[in-house]
Amino acid sequence: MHVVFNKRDPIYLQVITHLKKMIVSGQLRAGEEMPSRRQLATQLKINPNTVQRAYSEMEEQRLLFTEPNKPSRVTEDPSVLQQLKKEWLNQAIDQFVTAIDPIDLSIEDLLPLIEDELANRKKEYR
Amino acid sequence: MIELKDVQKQFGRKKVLNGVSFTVEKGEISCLVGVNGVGKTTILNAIMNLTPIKKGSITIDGESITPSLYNKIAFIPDAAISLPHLTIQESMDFMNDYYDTWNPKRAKEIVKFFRLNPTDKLRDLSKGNQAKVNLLMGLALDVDYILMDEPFSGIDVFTREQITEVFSSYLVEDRGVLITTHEINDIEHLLDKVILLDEGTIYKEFNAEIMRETEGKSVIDVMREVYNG
Amino acid sequence: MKKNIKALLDLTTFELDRLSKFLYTLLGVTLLANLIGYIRTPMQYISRMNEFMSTQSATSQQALENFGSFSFYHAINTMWISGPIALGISGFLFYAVFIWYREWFGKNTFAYRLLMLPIPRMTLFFSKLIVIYIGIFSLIATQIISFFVGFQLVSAIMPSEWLAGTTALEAIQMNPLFMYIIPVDTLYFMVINGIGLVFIIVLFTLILMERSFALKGIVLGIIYAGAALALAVSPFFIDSILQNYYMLYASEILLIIIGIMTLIAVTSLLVSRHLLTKKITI
Repeated sequence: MHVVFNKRDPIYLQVITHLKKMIVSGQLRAGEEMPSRRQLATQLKINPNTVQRAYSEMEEQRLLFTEPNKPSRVTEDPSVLQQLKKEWLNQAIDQFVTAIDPIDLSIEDLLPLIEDELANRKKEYR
Repeated sequence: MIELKDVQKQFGRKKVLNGVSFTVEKGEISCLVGVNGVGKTTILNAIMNLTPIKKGSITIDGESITPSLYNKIAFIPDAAISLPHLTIQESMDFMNDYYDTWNPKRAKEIVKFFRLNPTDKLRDLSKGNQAKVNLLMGLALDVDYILMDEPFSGIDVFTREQITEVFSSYLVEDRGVLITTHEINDIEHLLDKVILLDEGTIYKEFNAEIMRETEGKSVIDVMREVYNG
Repeated sequence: MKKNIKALLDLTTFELDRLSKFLYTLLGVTLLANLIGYIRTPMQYISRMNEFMSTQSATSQQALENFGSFSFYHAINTMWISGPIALGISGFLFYAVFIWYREWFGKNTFAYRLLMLPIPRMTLFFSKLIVIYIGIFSLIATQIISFFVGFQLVSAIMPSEWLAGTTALEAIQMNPLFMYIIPVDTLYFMVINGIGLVFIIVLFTLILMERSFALKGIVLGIIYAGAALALAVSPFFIDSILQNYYMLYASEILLIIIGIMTLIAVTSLLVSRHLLTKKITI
């Protein structure tokens, strides 16, 4: 796991984004145990206090939960996961639309381009 | 908490520290930043009672330093401090003879972590490995506070990476760490607190993460403002 | 307390280990030079006697009348014996300075390690002092053993009719240099060594002054050393100052000297402690 952090945004927010992506993509599954804050700090080469902050923030958003004396886990609540995916998608579409907005294209022209790109990506993964 | 209040220091007629005050909290990594010759090393020496101060006070958890506090606070200077004719093992045995807080198990782990060979003599080691031995001698003490002077100066990039790892590892967990550097680029994301030193005083003391969150500025951005402005 | 004593013993052992090479070299040089002296000096005498007898066709008795008999004193009153002693004394004077400065100079700053040990800093002072004395007494002990071995050697080499009846002890007592270092006269030996001890303590204090205040420390050190010296020699001038040459017995002057020496030593120890704990700079 390697993440490049930018220097001007709070690192804990960048960690949260990174973890959300892992949950959305299924790299972290519902109910899966999270690494300890120290393990994650070592992996990401950041300050353990920063990971701590990211974890508490995510607990507040109910993305993580912790039972006493146990490691934190990814939420098992389907509605929370659903909500996260929706959020992620909304954000992506928002960014995408903002990016292509200056170019005058109809949705009919766009669709085949998106399909092609998706097909290409899938090929690459195989 | 390490607390410096209005610390002043003079070398001859030259004022080096002109009223320095700041704190280092347990469980945090604090970094003293400033260009070379600005008095960073002098501050660490003063905290460790290795140079007398002219005025002001320095306390560690409310106590001023005595030899018994060397079991509570360790200093890793930017100089070779083990004897060249001794092996790493012999140097570790030396530490074990005097410090109640020397932790042999942890020492072994650090030797492994740094891929050192305990039977090597200090004088045969590369500069990078000598720096690691220095770290070993400080980190293997079960102390509450660790001071490190320029832990990244004059070493190769791989050693640098390994030493960076120390700061996110259990080796400094729950301790109060104070490091000095004149080159912050690679370690910004490891720090809690940044203390900017300029012309013998503390120019600014801030939490790096809060700075990013509230002002959207990196540590370098803040330094640029201070040194250019 | 028990911990501090253990630390002192550990540190002394450690310092002794660092001294060992230097000490072994001195011991080796001493023994070798002495051995050469014990053999060469009587051989030279013998060849001179033989030469005299053959060239002058004299009898052994006539040669003996001409050159005098050979005593052990002749064998030890040479550079082969006094040379290594002088070397030893200057060697340890040098070492008493070196034992401190080596912690600061060179590529390694071991002073960091020593000053950050969780033990009273005077432990460093005492360990270094003890080690120097261990070194000096090792040298003295070696010299004493060497004398008695040398006596046997000389007696074996020298034809008995040419050998004077001097004992080893008598021969040693004949040279004041040996009186300084060999405990033949207990009081004399104690006084000399007491003065030596105070000297090294003062020397250590001067070094700590320099290490604490740099240039200013050197000036301070010179003043301190001058004051200590003036105080130390003052008893010899009491008589002339008071214009009364019958006031004090020699034993009384000795007592005053001991008192003054103790005062200088205690003051120096207190000053050293203050410098080490409060003023020393890495």
